[in-house]
Amino acid sequence: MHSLRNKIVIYFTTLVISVIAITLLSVFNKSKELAYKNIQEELQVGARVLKEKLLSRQVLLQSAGNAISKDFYFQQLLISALEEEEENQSLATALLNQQKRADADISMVFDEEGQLIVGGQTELFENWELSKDVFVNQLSDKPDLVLVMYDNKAFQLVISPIKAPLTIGWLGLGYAIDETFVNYIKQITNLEISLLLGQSTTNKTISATTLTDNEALAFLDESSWKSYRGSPDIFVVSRKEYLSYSQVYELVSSGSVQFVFQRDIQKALVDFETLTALVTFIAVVSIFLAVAGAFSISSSITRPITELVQIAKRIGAGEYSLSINIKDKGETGELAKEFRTMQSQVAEREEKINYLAFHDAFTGLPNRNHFEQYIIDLIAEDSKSTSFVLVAVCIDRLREINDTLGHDAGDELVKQVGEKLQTLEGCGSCSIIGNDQFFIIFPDHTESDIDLISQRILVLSNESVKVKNVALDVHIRAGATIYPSHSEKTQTLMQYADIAVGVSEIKNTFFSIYAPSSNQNSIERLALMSELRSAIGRDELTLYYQPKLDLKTSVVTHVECLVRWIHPEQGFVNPDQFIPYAEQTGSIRALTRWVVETAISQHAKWLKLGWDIKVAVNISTVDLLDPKLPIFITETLERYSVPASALVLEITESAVMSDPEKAMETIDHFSCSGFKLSIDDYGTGYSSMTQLKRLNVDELKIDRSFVMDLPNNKEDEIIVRSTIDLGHNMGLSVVAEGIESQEAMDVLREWGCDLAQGYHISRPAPEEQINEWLSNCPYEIVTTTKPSQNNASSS
Amino acid sequence: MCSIRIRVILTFIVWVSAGWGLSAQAADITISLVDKSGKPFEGAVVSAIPQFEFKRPADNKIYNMSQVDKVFSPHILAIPQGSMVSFPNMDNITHHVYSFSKTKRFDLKLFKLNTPEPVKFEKTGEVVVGCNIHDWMLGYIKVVPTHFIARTDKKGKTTLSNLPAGDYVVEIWHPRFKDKNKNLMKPLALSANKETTVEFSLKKPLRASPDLTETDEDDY
Repeated sequence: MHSLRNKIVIYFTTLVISVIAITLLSVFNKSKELAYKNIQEELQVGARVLKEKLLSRQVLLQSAGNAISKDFYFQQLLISALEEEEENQSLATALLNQQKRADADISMVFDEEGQLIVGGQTELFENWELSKDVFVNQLSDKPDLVLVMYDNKAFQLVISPIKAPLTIGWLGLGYAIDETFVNYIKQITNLEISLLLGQSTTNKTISATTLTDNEALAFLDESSWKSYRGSPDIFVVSRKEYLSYSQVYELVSSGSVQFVFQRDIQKALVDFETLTALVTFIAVVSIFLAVAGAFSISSSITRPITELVQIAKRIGAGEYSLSINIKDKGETGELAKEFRTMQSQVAEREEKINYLAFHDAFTGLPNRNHFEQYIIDLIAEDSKSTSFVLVAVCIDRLREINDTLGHDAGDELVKQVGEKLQTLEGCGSCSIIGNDQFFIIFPDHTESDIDLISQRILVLSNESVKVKNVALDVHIRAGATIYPSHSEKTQTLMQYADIAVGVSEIKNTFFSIYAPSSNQNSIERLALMSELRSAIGRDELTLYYQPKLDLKTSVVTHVECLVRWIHPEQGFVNPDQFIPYAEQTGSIRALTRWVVETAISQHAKWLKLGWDIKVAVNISTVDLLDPKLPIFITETLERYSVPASALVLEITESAVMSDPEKAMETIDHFSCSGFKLSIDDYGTGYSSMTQLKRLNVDELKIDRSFVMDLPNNKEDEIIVRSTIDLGHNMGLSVVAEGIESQEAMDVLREWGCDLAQGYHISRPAPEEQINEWLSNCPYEIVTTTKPSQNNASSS
Repeated sequence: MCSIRIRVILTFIVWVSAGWGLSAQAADITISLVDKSGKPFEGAVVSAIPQFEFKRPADNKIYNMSQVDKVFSPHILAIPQGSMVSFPNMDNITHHVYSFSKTKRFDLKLFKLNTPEPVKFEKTGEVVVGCNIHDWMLGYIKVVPTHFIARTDKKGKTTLSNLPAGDYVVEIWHPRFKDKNKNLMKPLALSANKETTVEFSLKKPLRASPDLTETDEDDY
């Protein structure tokens, strides 16, 4: 209903119909009015014609009357009649003769005083009382019509004086106003004429009429009359309507007669009906044309619009290849043209958006969307027979490159690696996921192809990549998962590949394949991670302390503080299980802070017991990048009134090596703050001599893997001894951990190792147990110089 | 021819002897006439009718009522009873003079050059004379039983002279008068050698004077 076309059609149709209706109505009314007016004029003309006819008959009568009245012999007869009564008969005969000659209907002779002497139909005039004045009046310039009535008949009369030579009498000569006369007038005027006698409505009679008997009968019935413009001028009989007009003539005696002229309205309206029919026909044709025109025009407007609407809908649905064939030179054509432009532009933009949606903005490599779409398509192809291998590849140490060569170089590296990965044999899709990770799909590969794939990736990773004219070695780790044997779900596969990479990282290997067990662990770990933060607040964490023994003096000088998580449901949680994830999620910061504070407070407690045991705390890679950590440590030390020298920060060599520049900067900062720094797990981190030299640290801690097999392993002996020498030469104290036998401790003492740590001395133990151990151990404990604590230290 | 001469002579003798016989006791009657509005009325016929045995002298005079230019001339002719009136046609067209008056009915058929025989008016009264050809032509002949006849002048006056003394009825007449006869007649005793005055005053308005000229209407 609200469409443009309907609106236009309804508007124009309504307009045209209203205009035509008004026009028709006016034409009908006006034509009817005009018809009535015409009829009224015709009626009035008829009345005038009748009067003229009466007057012309009067002239005829006057001529005839004059002729008769001046006839000498007629005068003689009159004189005779006046003198002798018996002579009336002669006069009457002569009069009748003259009447016939004049073709008149009645005639009569009056004496000078107006007394009737003889008349053609004498008996008709017995009751007449005409005065002489009436006769004299006939001699005036404009004589009135003399109408007389007798026995329901009307006559027109002319009175002529009979002069001999003075007036001796009067001659009356008349015509009857009868049916012949009214019919004669009807012939001229085409009107119905009735002569009505009598004054009162009840007493009316029709003297002469052109109407039929029935009509004449109805004529006298008041109910046959309808009002027109206030006067009962419409005479209705047998479904015919006559418009009427009356003309009244006074009788010479008394009273009046009335001529009623009538015209059949229907007959008069015939012409107007023809006109009306023509106008109606024109109106109908106009309405038809207008409606058709409105339809046509509105359609010509709305059809292209409707088409454009359809096209717009289809463009909206993503069809851009539609041909818009609207040939119009007007606005619609312009619109169609704009639609074409819009269509191509939208297509272009969508292509661009699509590209952006499915490609990484920086490297131009396919992105995760692309990957997911690819994998969905792949699975959808034929889920039963298809199998593929999904490999997640992660670039190691990308940050290092970003920091040293800039992010564009990093991007370039990622891009080149991605491009290389794409060229791998059997690679179906290689998408970049995150900053440094790729998902590669090897379609139609199965578990048996894993080694092959691993080899291919390894080969690739051995090639160096040239970025900004710098040849870079690419360190990558990979993890694989297999569809459908591991999972049939994309998201799960992605997760499994991630887990596999994680496993590679943890195991410090190049390639791992997903194993459901690792998944089980990882899921548990993930669950734990979410609980770690609350665990810190809930005292689920505990510090375990492992003593460090001064080999020269056999004094326990330090303890390494190791965090333990006793989960209320899962029990003991290995640090290896949550520390790496704490590092990944950032909760390590809070963890480290908790460890630091607990360690310092413990130191303070021991100080109160008189023991001056320094506490060593492990600092992770993430902590190294935390600029607020040194401030926190300083504040905590102050809070517990503990000197900085009481705290040793242990940093793994690999943590330092992952970002040596930054690490050195932080280490310098710590060192300046007065903390002792120790390189933990030394020997596993590929640090060069140069780097070691530059590190502002106090202690080297030889990795347990070198110590555990001492003194039996000669290779380890060489490494340990040279490391001790190296450390000493660089002015560092050297700590050996992982001492599990007296022999190992002995050779280490012999080799000059400064501190020893290991199960042989003591397993890591919580506060209560370590206190007990400290109290009962065979070693001495550094005591405070304070006298109050001397007792304690000596004990 | 002879008889006519004798008659003329006889008349003369009568007239002389009478004049002589009455002269010793003769008297005049002066009449004055005003209409209703008091204006003198001219042209009224005045006659004095003796109420005593009076032998009128023989009078063979033939009066004339001519037709001149389709008009009767005179319009009014007053004659003593028994007089003869001739209707000579002065026009060169035909007239048909007639009268349907009771006093004298006559009908002088179409005549042109030959004047018809004079008509003798033996009864007293008025005679309306018309022409059957020219309807507007109208003439009046007043026949009175006396020869003492006069017409009022412009001042409405006239005098009847040398009337023998005795009783008279003085009558005035004119076609325009509507007054009753009573008012138009006055008795009078005339004494010898004494002038008697009779005054008439009309009580009714006058009739309209007839149009005696030719009218188109009747011109056929």
